[in-house]
Amino acid sequence: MGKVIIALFLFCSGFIYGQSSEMLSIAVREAALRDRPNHLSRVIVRLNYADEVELIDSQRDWLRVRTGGSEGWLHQDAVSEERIVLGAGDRDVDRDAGSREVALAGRGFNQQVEEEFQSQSGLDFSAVDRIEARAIDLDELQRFLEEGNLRMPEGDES
Amino acid sequence: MISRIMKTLFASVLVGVIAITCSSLGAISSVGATIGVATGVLDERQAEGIRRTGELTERSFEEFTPEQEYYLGRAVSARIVAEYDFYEDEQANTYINNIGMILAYASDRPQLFADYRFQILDSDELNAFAAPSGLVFVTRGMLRLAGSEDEVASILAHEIAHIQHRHGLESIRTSRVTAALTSAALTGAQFATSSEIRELTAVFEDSIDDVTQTLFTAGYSRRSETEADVTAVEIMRRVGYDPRSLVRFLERMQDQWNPDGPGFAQTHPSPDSRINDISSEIRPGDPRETRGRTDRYHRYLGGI
Repeated sequence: MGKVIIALFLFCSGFIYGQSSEMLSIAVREAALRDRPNHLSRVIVRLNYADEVELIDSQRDWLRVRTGGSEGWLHQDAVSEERIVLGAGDRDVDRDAGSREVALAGRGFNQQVEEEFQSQSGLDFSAVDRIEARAIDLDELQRFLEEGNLRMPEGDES
Repeated sequence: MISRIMKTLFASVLVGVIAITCSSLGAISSVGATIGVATGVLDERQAEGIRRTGELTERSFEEFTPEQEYYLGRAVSARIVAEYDFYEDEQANTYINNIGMILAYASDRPQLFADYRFQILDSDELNAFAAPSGLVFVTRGMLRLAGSEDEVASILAHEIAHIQHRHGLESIRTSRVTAALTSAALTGAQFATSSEIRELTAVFEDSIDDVTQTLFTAGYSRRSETEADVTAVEIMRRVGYDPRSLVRFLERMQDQWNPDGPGFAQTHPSPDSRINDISSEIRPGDPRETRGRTDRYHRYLGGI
């Protein structure tokens, strides 16, 4: 019993002392790291599901983060405080799950459930894939906005 | 379901105990605290519930992760797409995607698991749908009835508001939500057995049925519709669309209103009552429609 308690203590304290800065995981399929807290601003780099970023600062709904050599802004809904580790064999990205990390990704309704549902129901998902894949040109969107006398609120506005 | 839960009871209680023990040690960083207690694994309430009674604690649709919401929404989209043909005019679809993306980015939920997209359906019916994953569908009939870009924006903003408030997920019966979330907590990212995946797929299908039934026949609650209209007004105001155009569009719908007709008439409160509910939301200083935007509407959707 004593060993169990010590093991539990070490298990827990690893999380207290193991993290010197706050790391966040990308919790969406793809997140754009932007140079300003605005969805129409320039994309510095695109981050993938489960990528890790370091939190530097925050401004309303936007977080300033660092990853690799880049710094930029992410919307807060793009990240999770939970460490996301994709299980081995996951079709999106294959990555080893570290020993003390919990694979939170892909639980419940997931790609596997969709495939099972698809084979049972015979529903066609190809048209859905096609709509999802539609490219949005940010420069065109910016022109559309200006031409229409519209505006995109910045992250530091209410 | 229940038998599998009993089988995994020991393992889950152990995870729960670890979680509770960690918490009782106090100073846990926000990152560390997520171990075991995080959404998608086990929370303390649920661990306690399973340990004490062996029964499932009721779960809320709000606990679905964006990823689960995405897969639910994709299947709902597939059901919608199975009922309608697409209107394949590239310029018209680009146009409503431009309007829609601006509104979605200005909403309180600009970032979903996958991005928002908008698609015109080739139907004369008056209808529009929002799938929880972020796909918004609108019929030609609806766009034809709108007389300006701002009115089109009011339709799309209303649908985005349903996604923002997760009204689709809210229509899934609590028993299914509980089964789905508990299963997600007790199984790994990969299913161990084919019966596990079959059970969860059955829950998935029932959940899709709940959402599509709401979209096609039952409709959201009156409260949800009012909430979507009020939110639509706010989103439009933020980017500079005229919120009065929602009222103008509802007036056009009222003129066409046939309570026994297909589409919106079956799933929405009467336009008059919606106008009544939101007219107090309009402020004197709100943006106005512009000639430029209305010209643009005629240029891209004039022939629809």
